[in-house]
Amino acid sequence: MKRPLVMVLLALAPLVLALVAAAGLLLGFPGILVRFSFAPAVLAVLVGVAVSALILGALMINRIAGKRRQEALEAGAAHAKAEHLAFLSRLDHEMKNPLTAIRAALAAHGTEDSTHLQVADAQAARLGSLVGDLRKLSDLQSRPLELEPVDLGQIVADSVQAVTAYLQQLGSTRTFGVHFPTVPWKIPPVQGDSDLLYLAVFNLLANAAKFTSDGDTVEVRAGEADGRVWLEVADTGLGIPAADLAQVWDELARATNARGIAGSGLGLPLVRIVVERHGGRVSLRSREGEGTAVRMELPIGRAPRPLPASA
Amino acid sequence: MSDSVKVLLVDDEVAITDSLAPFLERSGFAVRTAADGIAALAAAASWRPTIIVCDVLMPRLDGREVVRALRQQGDWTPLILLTKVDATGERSAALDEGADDYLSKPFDPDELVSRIRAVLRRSTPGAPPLSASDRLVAGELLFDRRSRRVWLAGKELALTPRAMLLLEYLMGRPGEVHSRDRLLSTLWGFDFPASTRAVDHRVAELRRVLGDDAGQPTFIETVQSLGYRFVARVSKG
Repeated sequence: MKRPLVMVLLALAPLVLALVAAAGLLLGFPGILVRFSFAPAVLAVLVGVAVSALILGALMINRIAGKRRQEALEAGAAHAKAEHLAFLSRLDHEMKNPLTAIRAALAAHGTEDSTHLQVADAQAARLGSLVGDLRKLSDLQSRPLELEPVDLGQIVADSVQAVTAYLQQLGSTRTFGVHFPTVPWKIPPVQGDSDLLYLAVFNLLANAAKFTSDGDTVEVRAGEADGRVWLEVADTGLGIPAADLAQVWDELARATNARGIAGSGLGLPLVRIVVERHGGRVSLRSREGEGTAVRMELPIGRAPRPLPASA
Repeated sequence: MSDSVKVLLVDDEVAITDSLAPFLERSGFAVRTAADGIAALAAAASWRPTIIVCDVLMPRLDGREVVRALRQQGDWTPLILLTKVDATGERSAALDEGADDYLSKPFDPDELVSRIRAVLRRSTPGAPPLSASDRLVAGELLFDRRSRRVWLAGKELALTPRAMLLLEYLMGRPGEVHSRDRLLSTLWGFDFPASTRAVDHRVAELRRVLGDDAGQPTFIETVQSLGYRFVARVSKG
């Protein structure tokens, strides 16, 4: 908070200097007059320069202040994120011993003869997997990325195959329409962690499958713009109520119309974390009863610089 | 076999030892407990357990220090660390310190029993396991674990870090079938559903670099619907 004071002092310094000089001149040379004479053209130029300088100065000050504000906002967001991670870690730490003890005590006693104890055991297991899932998400935030050029087309093809195989086991089908442009050129590879990107794409497709019905179509589209590759997964499923849209990327958030459908509320947060860790961003459009389109954008990977030939 | 198996359970939480010890006894093991690392070392020396199950965060001496102290004394009693499935770096660090397996809390108590049995099947009493050796040799394949470099027929191989970790793990445990899920949670530190493609992907890389034919494998065999197995004979280099 010292900064504004320094700026004011700096701004006032010329005035103070001028006042001192004026006092000195008045006392030292009381009778002397200086007369300037300008051609009107020069005067016009001088006025123009002065006004421009003033405007430029004001603009610069405004820009610096804006940048400061932005930095403060980003620092605040990073801080909130770190706090959130620290909280998840504390929660995990405080819950894992009690949960281990509960499960071990029930196992030592045996749950075969009591439906009550079976309920307790199943619910302890459920709590345990919830804690585990939250921990996995916070690990994703900090685990090192193993970067290599990744072909998103291949990732999508593998994910479609995996989701289709899974649906087949359930006796269910979806049609996956994949549209990756090939002309004038193919979608360039992104620099990323192939395992994590697969995880994100698989989750998007599994989500789309979850909220659609037998025989529905899920579209996977991709494109390239402004140094980024985007990938969109669109479905004609349940859609998300407008009131729930703001929370879809948060852990454990589940849309009010999804209560009857099994799920952890961790799919979209996982996608967001993976994409953000790759310097990308996620967005979502949805209309209840019509469908949902989730989009991820990733910066295009620059080819790794060739190693200098060493002697 | 279970009658003679002595399990030393080390945890500073009384709620854990009080519940887990009876469960392990119910599963047929003889059990003693210790509340911290110092007590664990004393019990290991006097009682000579068959296997140690040890928490990591403990007062006085933590779980990792217990492993290090035992191994430095030349004590290769099999040991399972109860540590959280963390970022890969920390897990492999623990692998290097000579723990034989990991399980993260909270766990299914039955899972602990099956891990204890698996570790005992794999280990030779009193001898350091292959996975603690600095150099592993399988035919023309040489893995130097100190420098983290791999040679095939005298030619150094370029591998991604994850493929390197996978090869190291498989070579250290030859002849065993490793499920994709277990490989994923041990080496990748994550076990999201349906993410085992990551494992297949790295096995494909290893086969490509090693020139190994999946149909007629010299090194890595696919065990249908179960996982992978390192089939070549491995010795300490």
